[in-house]
Amino acid sequence: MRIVIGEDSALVREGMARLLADAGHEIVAKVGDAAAVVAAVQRWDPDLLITDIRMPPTMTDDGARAARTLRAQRPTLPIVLLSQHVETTQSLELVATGSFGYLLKDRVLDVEDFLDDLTRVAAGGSALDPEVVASLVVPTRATDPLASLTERELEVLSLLAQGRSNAAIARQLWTTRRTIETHVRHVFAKLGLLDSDSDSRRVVAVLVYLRNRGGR
Amino acid sequence: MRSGRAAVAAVAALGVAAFVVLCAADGTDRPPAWVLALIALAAAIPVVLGLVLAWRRPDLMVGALLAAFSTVPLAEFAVHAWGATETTAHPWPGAHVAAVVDVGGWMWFFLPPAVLAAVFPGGRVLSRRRRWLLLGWPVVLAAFGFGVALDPSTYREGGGTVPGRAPAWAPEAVGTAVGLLALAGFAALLVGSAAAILTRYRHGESRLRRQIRWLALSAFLLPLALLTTWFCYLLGARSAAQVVVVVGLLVAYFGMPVGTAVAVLRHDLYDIDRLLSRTVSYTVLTAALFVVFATVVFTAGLVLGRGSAPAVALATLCCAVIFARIRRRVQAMVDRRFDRAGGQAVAEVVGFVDAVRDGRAAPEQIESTLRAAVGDPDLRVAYPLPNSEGGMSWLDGAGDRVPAPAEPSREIRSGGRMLAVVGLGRRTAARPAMLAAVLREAHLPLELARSRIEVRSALAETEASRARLVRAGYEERRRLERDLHDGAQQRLVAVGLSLRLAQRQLAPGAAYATLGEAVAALQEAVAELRRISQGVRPSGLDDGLPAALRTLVRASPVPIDLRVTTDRVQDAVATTAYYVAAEAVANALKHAGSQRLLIEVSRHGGTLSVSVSDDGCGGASIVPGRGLGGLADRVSASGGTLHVLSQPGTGTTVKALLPCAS
Repeated sequence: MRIVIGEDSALVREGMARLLADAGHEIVAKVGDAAAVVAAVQRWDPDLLITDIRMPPTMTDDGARAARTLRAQRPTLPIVLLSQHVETTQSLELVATGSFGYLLKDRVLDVEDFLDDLTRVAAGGSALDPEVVASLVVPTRATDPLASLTERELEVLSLLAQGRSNAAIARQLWTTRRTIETHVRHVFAKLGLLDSDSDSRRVVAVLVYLRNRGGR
Repeated sequence: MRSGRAAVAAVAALGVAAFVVLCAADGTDRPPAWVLALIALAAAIPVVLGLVLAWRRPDLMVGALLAAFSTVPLAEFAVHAWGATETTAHPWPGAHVAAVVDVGGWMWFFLPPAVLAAVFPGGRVLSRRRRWLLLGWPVVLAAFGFGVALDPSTYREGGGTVPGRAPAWAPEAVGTAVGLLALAGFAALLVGSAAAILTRYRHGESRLRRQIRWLALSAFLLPLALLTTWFCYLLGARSAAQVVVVVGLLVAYFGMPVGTAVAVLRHDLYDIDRLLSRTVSYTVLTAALFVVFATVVFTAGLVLGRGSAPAVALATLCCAVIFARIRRRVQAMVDRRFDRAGGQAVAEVVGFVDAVRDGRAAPEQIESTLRAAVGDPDLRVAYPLPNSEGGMSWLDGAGDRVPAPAEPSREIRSGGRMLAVVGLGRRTAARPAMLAAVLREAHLPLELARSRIEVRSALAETEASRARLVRAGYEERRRLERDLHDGAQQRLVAVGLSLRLAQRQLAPGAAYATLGEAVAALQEAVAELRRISQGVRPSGLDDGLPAALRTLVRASPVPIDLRVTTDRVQDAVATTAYYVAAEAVANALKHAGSQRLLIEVSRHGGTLSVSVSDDGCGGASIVPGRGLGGLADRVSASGGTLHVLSQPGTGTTVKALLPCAS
């Protein structure tokens, strides 16, 4: 894949670039601030953009804003945002649009998972950091539909929310794809969601569901 | 409210009538002409004093009472003279009745001083309950006259002076009883009146006390003289009794008008000082105009011929022009002479000091009081206070900064320390004696006002610096959190990436596994840092209070309802509000065993309200230095208030009200 990296810390930027190059990707641009990210994408038209959220000039959410700008210009551009901390509102909103990833920065250290996530996002799927998902998938009250899920079903729901396909989930949980499909059907029925054959549509349904619980 | 003038006129007219009767009655013991003249002269003094008072204060009856000091004795003398005509060749009609009335007439002499004592200086009795001090007099006088008329000893046959004998239609015992009752009532009236002025004296403020002191003293002679007289009668010393009563009455008759005059002239009762100065200034004006008129008429007469109309017209014109020119100047000059130390101005300030003492006025109002008292709209009071920059600031009564007062001005000092400076208009500065007297009285409120302003400004400074400290603390936390994220965390991730790269260049083996463990340990360290920085400053606060509260709610092990109806507020307010919610939630989870919580955030005008309610065991309270106590400190440092409502069994509500600019 041809990738643009936006990251203000030179050490991290270089390390990440070498890691990705090592995995066979082509790094077309490595930049250190939000404006340069926008410019690089427009110049190189990459297959994927990986950018830090907190970047110059304001060191707040410049990266996320650059991502929104680019999304508006190129609706199909796959983007992975790297964050320093768990933030749910904004991340869910972005990830639920598809072709979008929101990961904590240290997730790059789980190299295989990280590369998986990149590939999936580049293919139109989603990636949501497990820690963000963990803070979302918690039953809040007795009447919460999440409370009616079994432990295994919650596990499946969490992996779904991270953006995994049924096959990936089955691998992760050391079980068959058929079993996972049964769990997924149960989860969708209990949450009152419309099931679908497509993995990515299932993920989006789950993310939208989680986002709409928002208020809690 | 002009009844006072009508009353004094009526009393004076009565006095004149009585004097006419006295002169006309051709009785047996008619006084010689020089005695009559002397009486007229003595009687004129209280009447004039009464007229002056009534002219100045038409709403008061005191003028009429003073005039009565001469009218009532004149009336008694007139009745005596009328009665004395009975034994002459040409008795006046009703002379017999007048002679009988005259026997009990001595009681009349007590009427004016007693009533004056009862109503001085306001012209009213102290309370409705004391109205009998006025209403009792006609009853007592009538009853005594009736008793005397029935008493055989009044008449010549019984050893008295009136020709004839007592009427036969009533038994002697009735007359005696009525007379004795009247005497008892009379004694009660005198004692009651003396007690009334004593009460006024005891409950009055200092100025009133000075005003009524002499009058109160003379008022006491009335019951004293009467009781001594009766005592003398009991001992059989008839002549001594008469001497006592005459001396007592004379002292009261002399003392009470003098006491009133002293109160008026020396202690500014009824603002007479100004009256005096007006009288003098118009006298001076009149004299000056007369001189001008005469000179002009005479000079013009030489030219135009004596008694010519144009000369008179010219003189009148000159007078009119000059009057308009010099009236104000003469008035100011006379004012300076006669309004010696600005008695009126001093009195106003003294009244203000009394009001401050009673809590009816705030000492800071001294500025407006001084302005009104000395009649100077340019007067202003400024208090010098050390400011936080190490210099000196001038503050006004409201505590606002003002420029330093310009000359002319007066410094007010206390023990070498400058309390305040009073800036003045030019005309006020030209009256140093008056100003000194007024400022002497104003010293106490000025000192009080300064202390209060000092305390208020120190408190405001403390509050402001506390709020600054809190804001600085929040800033420090934000900086620390950034350092953790952008510094330490980034480096750890970078090191981890290097390790991973090294790992990928190795073949699986011992070193490969060791590097893997090292990266795992680094990941844990990063997660740990994330938790720490979240504690230092909740990351959600960057996205506003609602986002931060949602993060808080998500991390809670028990359900929390969140109701936020507010848009963005300033960062410092949002941070404080967040800590209130976080600390209250932690408290509820730790101590109350709550199963449900509710966080409500709303904004009404300039106040942000944050409340956290739980269904736990209750009984929470603010203890300094612990959980909620620290929260209360944080909230009050932001200028807000923290309330804890916690009854055992009904849960706890922690509510903070925080000021936030709109």
